[in-house]
Amino acid sequence: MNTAIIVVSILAGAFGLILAGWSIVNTRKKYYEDFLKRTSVREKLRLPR
Amino acid sequence: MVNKYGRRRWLLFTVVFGMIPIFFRLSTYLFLNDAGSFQPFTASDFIALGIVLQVSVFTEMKYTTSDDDHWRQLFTGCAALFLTLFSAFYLLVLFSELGTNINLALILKVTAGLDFVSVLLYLAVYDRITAATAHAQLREVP
Repeated sequence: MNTAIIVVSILAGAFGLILAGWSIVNTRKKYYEDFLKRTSVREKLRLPR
Repeated sequence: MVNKYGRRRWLLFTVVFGMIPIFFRLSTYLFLNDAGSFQPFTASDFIALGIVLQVSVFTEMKYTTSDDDHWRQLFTGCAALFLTLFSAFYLLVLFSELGTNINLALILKVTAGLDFVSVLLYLAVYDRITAATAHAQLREVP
């Protein structure tokens, strides 16, 4: 029982960590230009940062 | 790219409210003169926090854009997996009350670790939604 709990938790935790890391990297790639432009556009529109 | 106000609101409504059972139990433990068998941390409190975080991930999915189906499916599946795990651990905690030989200390450590991963997952979801929203606003700029 204890071994099963440890193995399942490690697998789920590793999957979650990989997914979170992949998502953050993928978000940076997909919206990279957006991140670069956002500050200047916000200043242009006088929106709060 | 979580903005300052969004992060504060998220911390207040999700993480802090989800941790209320942990705070209450810990404060009760600290103010008790004779704690006896009263534990400062229990697995069920961490399981509650994990369920709150994963349900939040589920509800945040409605804010994603339609061109993000693959990403949304991955995170919905992951949230369902974590919810199932937390539910299974809660079942084990309930079984332990019947006198079954279950290692509650191990379940406490495991659920605390999974809670940490859940916070990271939620930050990733919030990061994506913030970026997608900003991107959509930029499209509207002439």
